[in-house]
Amino acid sequence: MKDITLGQYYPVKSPVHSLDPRTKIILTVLLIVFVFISKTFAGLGICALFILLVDFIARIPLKNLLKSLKAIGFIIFFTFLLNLFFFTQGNAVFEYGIIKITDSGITRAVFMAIRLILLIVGAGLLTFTTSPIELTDGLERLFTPLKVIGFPAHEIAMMMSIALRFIPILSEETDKIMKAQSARGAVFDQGKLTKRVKAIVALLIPLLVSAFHRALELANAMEARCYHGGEGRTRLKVLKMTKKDALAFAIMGIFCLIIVVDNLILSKIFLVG
Amino acid sequence: MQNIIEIKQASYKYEDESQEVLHQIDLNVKKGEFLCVLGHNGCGKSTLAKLINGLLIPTSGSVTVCSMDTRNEELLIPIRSRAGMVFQNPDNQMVATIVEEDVAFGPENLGVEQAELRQRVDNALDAVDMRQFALSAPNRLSGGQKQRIAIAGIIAMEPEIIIMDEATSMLDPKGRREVLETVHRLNKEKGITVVYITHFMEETVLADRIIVMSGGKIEAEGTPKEIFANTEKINQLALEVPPSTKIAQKLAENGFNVDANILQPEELLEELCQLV
Repeated sequence: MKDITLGQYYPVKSPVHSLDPRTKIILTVLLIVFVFISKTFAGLGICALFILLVDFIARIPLKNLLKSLKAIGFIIFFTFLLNLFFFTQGNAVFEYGIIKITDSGITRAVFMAIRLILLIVGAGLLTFTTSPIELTDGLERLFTPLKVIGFPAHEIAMMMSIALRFIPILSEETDKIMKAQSARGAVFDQGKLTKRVKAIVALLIPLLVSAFHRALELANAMEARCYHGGEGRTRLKVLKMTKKDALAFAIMGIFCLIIVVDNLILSKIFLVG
Repeated sequence: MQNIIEIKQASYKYEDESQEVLHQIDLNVKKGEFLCVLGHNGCGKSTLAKLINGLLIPTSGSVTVCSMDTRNEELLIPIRSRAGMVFQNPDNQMVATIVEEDVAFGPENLGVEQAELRQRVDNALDAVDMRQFALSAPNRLSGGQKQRIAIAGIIAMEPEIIIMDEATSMLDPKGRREVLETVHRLNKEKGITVVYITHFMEETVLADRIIVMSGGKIEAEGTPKEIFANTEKINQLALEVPPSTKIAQKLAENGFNVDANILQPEELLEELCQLV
């Protein structure tokens, strides 16, 4: 229980891992945008190649990267079916009653599925190469300019980091309460659904009470350590953009340019959707 | 020597309770002193700790820390930066997911510049002998190590006073020893005033002064020798005597020939060996 890993961070040393988290967040957003605006299979192919390249540089086994698809495999499949059955333009390839599958329907379904897969895998690159803490730090600093319009960047980041800090503690506690309740005859994994839900209540209530108790103590401790919001706070770790980040932006720029060119030229030949 | 903490006629009552938790406490703590506050649960010792660090404001009377009155809200941050507090539960006082960032939390709040911040964090970790864990996750540390990190988090604010609010009560004997040794060392080497709150009598043996609290009042005060000499009073206050003492007392009560006033497990062992 103590070694619970959060998210899917894959801790190795690589040029991608050592990039500034802000760079990685911005580049991931750009990647997602450009996967979206690619209009051709060739464009998606370029995106796929690019993602593979980054994955290779980041030294993440492809197997791990593809694992993140498992969770949403159903959604991909569902989108595929929807596009297949409900896109009725083009020449019919198969017709039976109300079901009509067209050639452009098939192309579109495949295209959408690939696009979704690339989106997930592309976003996965960020979480594989950036620890949750770095991610929180990066997000806080990216959103800092929005403080002007009242966006609580510091507060959100503080909540995220406290949540990260307490997840292992609460999961350990859940385990403890579960054992304590089992010892007194509670059954969590058998019986009818209503019975199981009732058993869960016996788990959730002590957990909730304890979480509130912890929150109160933590608030006291934070106040005792002079916490008074983000105002006038300095940071031990200061994020710094280096030449590496510039290089990453340059590579991304080239990639974006290729996609744009591809959209302008190739899309006239193989227009999809 | 000058008084670093001055408590005058301070009382405290929680809003939803009818009785005062603290009743007209008078207490002065000298700079560099190691003061132990001893008392059983509910005697008001934790409330006293919170008064010193400005987490609670006395309902009547006054608390002055480093010549600053805790009733003045503007002084709360400077007061808390001078009087750091370590709490009971090691898990519920750590904010960051990395040890060194947790140590930096206090000085970050004070707005210490980055270069100095780094220096302070490293020094604080050295002071509690935890430098090698700087980049670990807190949940991989033992209870005693976590409390030492909490102490480092206080040291990094460069305080004049450390308040230990039953900081060892959730630790195993080894962790308790580690933490106690650490605060004693900081008291001697850095001259930091320590207010050490506990219900374990054996932890107070090396203090400069002990106050014993009961029912929101100071019932006894003196050096450890003076306090321990008065066994009757201690028993009367229903203090948590060391387990060895408890066993010895029970044995003596039941007619065994055992000295009931022993404090250390080693002494108990000796007594028991004589019986056999």
